[in-house]
Amino acid sequence: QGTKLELPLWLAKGLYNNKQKILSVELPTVYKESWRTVFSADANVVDLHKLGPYYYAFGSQMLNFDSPENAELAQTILQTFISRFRRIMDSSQNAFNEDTSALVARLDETERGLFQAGQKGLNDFQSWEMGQASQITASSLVQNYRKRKHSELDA
Amino acid sequence: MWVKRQERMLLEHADTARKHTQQPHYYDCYCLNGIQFLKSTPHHQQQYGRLFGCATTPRILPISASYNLGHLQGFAVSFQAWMNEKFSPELLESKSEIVECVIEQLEHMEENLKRTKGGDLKASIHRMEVERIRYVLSSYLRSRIRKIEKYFPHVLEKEKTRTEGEPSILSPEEFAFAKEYMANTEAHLKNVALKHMPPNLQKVDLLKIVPEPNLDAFVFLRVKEKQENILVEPETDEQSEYVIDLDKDSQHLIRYKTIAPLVASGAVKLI
Amino acid sequence: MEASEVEFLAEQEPVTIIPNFSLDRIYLIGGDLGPFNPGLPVQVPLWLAINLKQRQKCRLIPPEWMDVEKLEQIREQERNEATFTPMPSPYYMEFTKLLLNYAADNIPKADEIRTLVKDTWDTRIAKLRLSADSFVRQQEAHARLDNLTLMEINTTGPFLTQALDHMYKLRTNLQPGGSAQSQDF
Repeated sequence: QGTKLELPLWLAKGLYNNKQKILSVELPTVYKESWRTVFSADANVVDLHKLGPYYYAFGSQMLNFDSPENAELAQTILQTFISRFRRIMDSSQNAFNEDTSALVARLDETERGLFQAGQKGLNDFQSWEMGQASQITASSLVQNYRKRKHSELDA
Repeated sequence: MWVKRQERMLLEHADTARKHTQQPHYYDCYCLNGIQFLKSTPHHQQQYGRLFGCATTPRILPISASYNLGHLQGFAVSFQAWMNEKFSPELLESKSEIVECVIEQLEHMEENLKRTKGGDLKASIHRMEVERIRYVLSSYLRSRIRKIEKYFPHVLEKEKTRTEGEPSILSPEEFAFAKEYMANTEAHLKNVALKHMPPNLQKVDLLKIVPEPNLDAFVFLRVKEKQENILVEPETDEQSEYVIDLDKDSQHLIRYKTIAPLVASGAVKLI
Repeated sequence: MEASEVEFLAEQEPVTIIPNFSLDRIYLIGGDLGPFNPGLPVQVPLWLAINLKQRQKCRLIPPEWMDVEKLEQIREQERNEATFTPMPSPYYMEFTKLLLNYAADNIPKADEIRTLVKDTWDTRIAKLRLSADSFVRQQEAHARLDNLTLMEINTTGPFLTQALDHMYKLRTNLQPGGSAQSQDF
């Protein structure tokens, strides 16, 4: 009794039971009040990938455990997304044909999925506009395969 | 070019599905080869008119009317079944009668075309049109198959609980496919994993583990017939619910659930 | 929907051509066309117009709005107004691309037209992003989007709806007991 230990979420969730109180859960730092203040000040400066990388999903799961901070936590997660939305939209819709790794570096995994959706819309439109939509090109896999064969031969 | 590519994809898809279901003939109606026909009845013709916006009589040897503005608009608007299916999160009611009717039209046209010479300008125009209609048809059926594969337990559950007289959301072929797909998935899960589990963990409820269509998803729509007093649920606690009117030809972004009945009735179309 | 599919829909729209061949009335599944007589204007769907043009069998008459003066007005109006102004065609972007790519020799001042249409498009897309952001901030349940064209909706739409769906999930967290269902995160 009273021991602190780290458990994976699925196990903690399995053991957690409102009636018997086998264990209580401490919020990970990033969801605690000190960080919540940072998020509400300017959510855009935060490197969610470093802190997450599943900031939203994991945060939502934390709400399964009864805590007086739950209401505030849920609010913070939602507001964080709302304030980061514009930047994700703009960066995903402006970057055409360039290396996007710097743009997504600080995004959490859900945000990255969203970024990809924005990129797809943009790329699809741009290639249509330039008349490439109707051309069939060899898949990059095939091209890489050929290159590899060459280098093997060279070696 | 891309019409061709899409078609090849469909054929490949059909091939995989055949291996999957081990039921060689089912998919033929999607490939438009050797399909079962229904005799064209006035009812079909009406349905056909609704889909393709042409006058009521589908014909090979035609009567009159020109490919005028009205027609073309009708034609564009009536790719609706296709667009609705593409944009709606759930599987919509099957339009199998229309599909059969269109297939029949295409078959007739193709029969006629076989008899013409290759370099004929007129025949080449007919061929292009046939290709275009066939593309829409394939794309429509393909988006339905994708949803059936994604939501099969729920689709079948809906079919099971359907009351007498309520139209089915599946065509007979789709129903057979969904059942087969379910049986194969279950068998696969069992062979690969479940039978090696302890006995108390060998049951899996597919209805619970396969995600349901997300009816809360937002959709874009265009209004065809004016609707009044549509209730919009609030998004946050501070907001309260309110009603909106949907004016004819206006466009909206709204949760699918709110307007699902209007999509079904044809009062709005998804875009 | 992909851009090429939106283009496919645009190709159903009518356009006027002047053929250089003769052909009797032709009876397509979607309706009747023709008759075609050399030098006499006739309406056909865009897909056919482009095809005939590629085979050098006709001259294309650009739609009335495809004109530098008219498009300048449209661009100015779009820039001055906060809302989306009505476009001369629901497929203005597709028409511009197809006609300029395949029939540029039939369109006076093709390059200027291309730039004007692109400017208008850019202004509209910027507005669309602005309204998407405010929609998200206000957490609205409904937005009216008159005059937006299918092509415009399709470039940003999937991104926006995906973001809204995500937000909806986060919001169900706020309801007591709401998080119990959110296992599919």
